[in-house]
Amino acid sequence: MIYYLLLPLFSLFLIVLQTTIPGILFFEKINLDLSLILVIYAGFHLGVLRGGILCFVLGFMQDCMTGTVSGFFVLLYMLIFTASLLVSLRVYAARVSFIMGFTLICALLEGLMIAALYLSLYRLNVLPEVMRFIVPQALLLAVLSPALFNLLHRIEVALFNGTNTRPA
Amino acid sequence: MLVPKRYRSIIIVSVLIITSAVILSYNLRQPDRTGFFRKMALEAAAPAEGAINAAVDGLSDAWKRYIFLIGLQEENRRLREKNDLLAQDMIRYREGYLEGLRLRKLLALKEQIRHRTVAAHVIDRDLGAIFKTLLIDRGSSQGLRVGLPVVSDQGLVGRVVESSYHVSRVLLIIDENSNIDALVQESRAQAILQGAGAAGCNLKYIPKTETVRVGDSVITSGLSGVFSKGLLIGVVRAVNRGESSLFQKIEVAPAVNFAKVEEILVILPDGEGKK
Repeated sequence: MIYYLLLPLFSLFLIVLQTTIPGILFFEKINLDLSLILVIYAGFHLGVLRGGILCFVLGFMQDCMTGTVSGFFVLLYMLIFTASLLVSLRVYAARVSFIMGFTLICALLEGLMIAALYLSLYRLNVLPEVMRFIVPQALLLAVLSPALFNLLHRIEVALFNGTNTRPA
Repeated sequence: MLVPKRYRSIIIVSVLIITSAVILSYNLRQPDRTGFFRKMALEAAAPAEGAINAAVDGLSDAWKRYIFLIGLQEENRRLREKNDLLAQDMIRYREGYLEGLRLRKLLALKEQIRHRTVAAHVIDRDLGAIFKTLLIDRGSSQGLRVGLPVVSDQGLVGRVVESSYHVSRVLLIIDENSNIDALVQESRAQAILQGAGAAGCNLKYIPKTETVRVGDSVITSGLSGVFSKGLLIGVVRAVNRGESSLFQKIEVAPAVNFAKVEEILVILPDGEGKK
């Protein structure tokens, strides 16, 4: 229960952190969507309920902090979570190359979906602008993803005392 | 549980996706309305963002300072290199200026001397050894030969004792092997000036009857024919009349600083040149 109580705070902290730290490190040139990696990790390793709620809350916080219409990132993260969940059921998702490749695809898809949303809602083609940010971010996230997966795994083990959080 | 376990995952995911789609759809219809949970999130985000920003600002400043310092370090290295180059240039110019001053003095001396002269640079000096000599960059091809007197703008340096085509060795007047006919300018007392190494020179064979004072100038007498008359050798530094000896013991401080002399003139004999 403590997990669900702390989840909003943790999500808020992560979203605030991911908008602040990369801005300093990369001088506002690259945004680093760490929450996306957490969503993919949740799909690969956490249980459906835990992972689903986490992605839901993360998406909501992302909506709040980025100013997009509420529900957009929630839906987006839920779709990525579901995709990760389904992929992890059929593929051995612990290989570094697979993690990097999947993260890259998800990050690029996220960008495409943002562009599609803008096109459908506001009749604005922001694809070139979005891709200008998304491509370097996707590459960076892909490179960082194995290390972040490792870190998240350690946190998961510490929090849940090494128990497998995914139901059999 | 009412729901079978095998369908639970599908149902949870479906519920969450449908819920998010409903939220999105609802908010798309009311874009100007900020929902309660969103308000709560924003309220919570403000202090969280403030706290994180406060903590991160220090880090940010440190990081920017670090980046700035890296740039500064590079600039510092570049400026140091430039400074070194400029310092080298300045040393070269200063050397040129000082050489010009010395050569001007040497030129003035050259005009005073009524003989043909050859100017030369000192290329090596040997003052610590038994033989006190200088090596100069002029030799027999410039008319130099053994025995020729060598002067600087300060006074008599010595004489050439060895000469090859383009290099000659000069025996300094302070060398123990150097003996020169000299004259105390004030008293006109004739003497032999012998080198005494680091101590300078000694004037020999001046009778006690002659009055020689400290500070008197000692010049060449021109008697031996090697050195022309009137070249400054040095000044009397000490006079010791003694009790038992017939002659005074007189120490002479050379006018030339042999450790620093850099340009000299070799005086050629009358028969070999003009004047």
